[in-house]
Amino acid sequence: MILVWLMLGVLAGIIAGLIPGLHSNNIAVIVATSPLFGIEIVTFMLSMSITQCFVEFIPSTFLGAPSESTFESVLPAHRMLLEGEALQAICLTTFGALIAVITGAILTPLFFIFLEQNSEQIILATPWVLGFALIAMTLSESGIKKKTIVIFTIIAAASQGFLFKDQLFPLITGYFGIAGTIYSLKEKPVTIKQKTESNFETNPIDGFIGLVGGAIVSIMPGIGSNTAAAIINFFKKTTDTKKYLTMLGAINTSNFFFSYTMLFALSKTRNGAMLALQDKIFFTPQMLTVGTAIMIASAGIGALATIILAKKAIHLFDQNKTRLFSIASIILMVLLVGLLNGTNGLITLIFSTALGLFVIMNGVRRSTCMAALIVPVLFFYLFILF
Amino acid sequence: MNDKTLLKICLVITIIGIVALLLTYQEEFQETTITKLLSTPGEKGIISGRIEYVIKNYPISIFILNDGNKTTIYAPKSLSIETNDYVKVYAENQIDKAKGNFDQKIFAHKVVKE
Repeated sequence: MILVWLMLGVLAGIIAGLIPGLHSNNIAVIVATSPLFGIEIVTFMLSMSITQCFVEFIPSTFLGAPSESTFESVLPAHRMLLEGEALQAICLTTFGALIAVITGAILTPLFFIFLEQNSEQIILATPWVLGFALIAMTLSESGIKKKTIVIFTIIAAASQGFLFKDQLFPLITGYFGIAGTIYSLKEKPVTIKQKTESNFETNPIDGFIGLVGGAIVSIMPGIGSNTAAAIINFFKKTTDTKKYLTMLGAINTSNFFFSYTMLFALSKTRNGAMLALQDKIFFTPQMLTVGTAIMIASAGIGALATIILAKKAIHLFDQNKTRLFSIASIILMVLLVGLLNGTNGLITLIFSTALGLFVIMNGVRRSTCMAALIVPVLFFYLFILF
Repeated sequence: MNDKTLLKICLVITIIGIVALLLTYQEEFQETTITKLLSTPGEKGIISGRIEYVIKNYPISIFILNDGNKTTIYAPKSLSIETNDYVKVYAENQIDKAKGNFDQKIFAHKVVKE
C-alpha cells in the first residue's frame, strides 16, 4: 500500500511541477484537510514535493515560466535553450538535485544532532542572517543605479509583505510566476532545434555547495532557494551557467529534504508540506528514517520522469505552442489565486505582478522580491528577541 | 556524463530508495484493546473507545477512556476533546520515570475524533 501512495505522490508532483503557478503547497493545503493520516500522508506529501523539485525545472526552461524556487534558473536555462541545450540544462539541475538527496540522506543524523544541540543559537542568529541576506542582495548588484533599484524593491516588497501578510500565494505568484511569464511573451519565440541527446561535464562540488546552501535555507525562515543561490553566486562569483544550474538544483531539493529533519528536530515548519504533516504524524525515529527512504525513492523516480518528460517536451514545444502554454499558464495562475484567495488575492496579485515586472525590466535579481517574506520575519524575530 | 548514464543512476537510486523503504517500514500501530496494551510494557496500539471523563485539558490532556475496560490516558498537549466523544487513540504503554516513579502509564501519541 505504501508503494501505491508513493506512486500517487510522484504523479501529483509531476502535475504540480509541470503546471506553472501550481505548487505542491497548494495540493498540501487540500490534502491537510483530508482524513489521510500517518504513513499514508507522509508518503504522499514527501514523494509529491520531492518529485516537484525535479520536474519544475521543465517549464522554467522551456516556457521561461518559473516557480517560487526556480526563477533564478530561468535566465541561465533560457541561455542554454537558445544554444539548443535545453535537455542539458535539465540534466544539470537533475544531477545537482540527486547529489543533494543522496548526500543529504547520509548527513541527516548529523544535521538532526546539530539542530537539536543548537536550537537557541539558531533563533538568536536568525535576524542577523536575514539582515545579512538583505545586505548581500543589495551588494550583489553592480553600479549605484541598480543598488538604488534593489533598495527601492526591498522597501516596496517589504511593504507588500506587511500589507498583504495573509496573501503569500498571490505575492509569490505575482513576483515569480505571472511577471516572468508575461515578460517571456514579449520575447521572440525560440526556433532553435534542440538536441535530443546530451553530453555534459559534471562536478559534484557544485552539488555539495548547493547542499550546504539548501541546508541553511531550510533552517532560516523567509529565505528561499533562489535567495540562497544569489548569495552563493555573489561570493563564489560563478559565471559558469552549468555550474550554477547544478548548484540551484541541489539547493532547491536539499532545502525541502532538510525541512523534514527540521520538523522532527525543532518542530518548525518551513513549507506547506511540513505544515500539512505536523499534526498528522508521529515524531518517532522510525518515521524520520522511513521519510528519508521515501524521499530517496521518489527522487530517483522524479529524476527519471524529469529526463523522459524533458525529451518529450523538446518535440512538443515548438514556437506557437510555447506562446500558447504561456498564456494558458497565466490564465491558470489567475484562476488559482481567485479560487484560493478571492478578491483580496486578485488585488494582491496586481501589485505583486507590477513589482515583479519592475524588477525584471530593470535587470535586477528577482530574488530581491523575497524581501516581502524576509523583512516581516526579521521584524518578528527582532520583536521577540529584544 | 550523458543523459543515458544519468537515467541509469536514477534507476539505481530508485531501487536503493525502495529497498530502504521496505526494510525500514513496519506497521507501528495496530488495533488493540486497553487490556492487551496494559499487559505488555512498551506495547503500542490503536484503542477505540468513548471518553468517560476529561480530568484536565491544559497544558496537557488527561482523560479516562472506556473501551469495555477503563484506563487513564496522558497526552503531551492540549486536545479539543470532551466527555462522551468517541475517539481513536494511538497509544503507547510507557514507564513513567518522573519523580522516581516507575509506574506504567498509557501515553497518547495522537487522538483522532471518530
